[in-house]
Amino acid sequence: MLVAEKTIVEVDNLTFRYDLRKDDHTLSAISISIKQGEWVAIVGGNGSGKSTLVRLLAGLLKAERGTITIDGVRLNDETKWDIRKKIGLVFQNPENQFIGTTVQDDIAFGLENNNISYDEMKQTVDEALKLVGMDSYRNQDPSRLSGGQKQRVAIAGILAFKPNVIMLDEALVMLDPRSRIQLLSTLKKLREQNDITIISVTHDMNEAALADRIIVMDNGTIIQDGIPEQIFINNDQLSPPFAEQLRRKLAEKGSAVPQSYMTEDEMVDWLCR
Amino acid sequence: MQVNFKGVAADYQIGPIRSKNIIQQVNLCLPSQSFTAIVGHTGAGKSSLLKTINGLLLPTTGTIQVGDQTITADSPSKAVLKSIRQTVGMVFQFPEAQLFAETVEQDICFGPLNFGVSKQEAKQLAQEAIALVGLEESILAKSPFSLSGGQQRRVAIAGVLVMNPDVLVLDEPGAGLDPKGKDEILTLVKNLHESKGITTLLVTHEMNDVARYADDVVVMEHGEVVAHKPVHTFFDDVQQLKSWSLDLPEARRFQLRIEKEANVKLPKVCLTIDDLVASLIEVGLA
Repeated sequence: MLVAEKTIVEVDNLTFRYDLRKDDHTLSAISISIKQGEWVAIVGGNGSGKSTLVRLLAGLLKAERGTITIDGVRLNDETKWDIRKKIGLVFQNPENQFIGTTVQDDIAFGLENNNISYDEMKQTVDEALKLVGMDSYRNQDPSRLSGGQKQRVAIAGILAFKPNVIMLDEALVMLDPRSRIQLLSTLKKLREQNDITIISVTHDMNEAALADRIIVMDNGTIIQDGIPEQIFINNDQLSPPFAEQLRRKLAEKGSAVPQSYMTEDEMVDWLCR
Repeated sequence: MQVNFKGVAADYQIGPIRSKNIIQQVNLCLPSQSFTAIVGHTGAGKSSLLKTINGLLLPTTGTIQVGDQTITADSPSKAVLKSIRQTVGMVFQFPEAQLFAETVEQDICFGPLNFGVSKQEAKQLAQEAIALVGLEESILAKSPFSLSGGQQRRVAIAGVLVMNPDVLVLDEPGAGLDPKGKDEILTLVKNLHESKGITTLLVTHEMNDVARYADDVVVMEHGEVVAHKPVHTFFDDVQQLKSWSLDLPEARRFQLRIEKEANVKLPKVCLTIDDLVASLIEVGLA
């Protein structure tokens, strides 16, 4: 396993609400510890607090109670600027974040703000564009790209920063399946080469099943935290990966399928027995 | 209502700069009351094609016929566009981004009021529309911005349905919703299509949804329509799908894997998990 023992993200007793006049908390006393190099999928229904959690981690929202520690540094108003160099967040709808008039300017914007030299910036932008396969679009206006292309540019903007932690808030939803698989494998490679930690908020259970660990949120709390097999067998609210769905349907029809969670390979073996 | 593209090409012009053709030589006829899915890779021209249907993007050549109205290259008259926009409902990507009013009711009433419906009647229509998308009437008095993402999406769709469109165009309406929310939205679209006979056009990347909801499939590649087929025929020809690098619905993919590894042939093309379960039991594998 590549997973190192160093803890990169430590969340302790995190509590948050948007409206202080009301009692309904968007997050109530959440604690998580994420190791460097881990791939964590956060799943749960709309309104369960997933996006709020990643926004808190990026220092975009301020917790009511509790602490966030990234790479050994406590997140607060003084440290948030340094921490944001280590943790990058890609939003679901990149429409709202483009400021450059060309794709390459947009990716360079963050680097310019951090006083990166021109030569280094040029090289970094090149690399990031190649990683997401948008190299040939570098001179186009980002607002005129298609939904999926925009998402790729937004991801390139974060990759250019070479963060230790990449958070994806449903950042792959507009991609066609082929591009999604390509980007996921690019991210996997990056994780292996540079020991990057990936936190991905997703509704795609096939994507979540590929993660090292799944965190299930509901109504502002963590209701499950574990490896994919455990999660899917113990939670009948989540729609599981296809093979497990098939196993359940077959069981309903009275077929003698095994009683425990099955991956696709296990299901194929069983059917071909 | 029928939508008919004849030799349509289009691009985006910003000042003197012209992008290369985003859509080229599209000939496509969508029959009245059909449910068509448009698939293709990012940047294939899917969203742009949708925009030409109600004149948000004008063709450089060719014509688009919607019912008995026609959009042509030379700037069409306001009357034509107005009449087309009244009959074609557009749900864009992330439609909740266009919510703007103080209350849900005002937001939904905006369209009808612009087309000269009385305030009283518009309010009545808003009540019907909010029920159509499965929300409580009490939500009408709330600010759209206090709602969850899934609810906002529904309100935005209600704002389109309130116009009682004959043609409904949806650009990835499920993106970003949880699986349950997505199924609910698409089931709603399917039910409306069936009960009101709305000609429906759905852009999606999700082949499972194509298999589950659409009757026909249009494939776009580099701005051109390269195929227009019924769903079953479309997913039958695996080699052809591979050549477009398109995915298969999960059930179909699994079927092919089993057929290969167990060396059997299932009795039919399985598009849904229920098809697959029935077929597996029928041939005695499960």
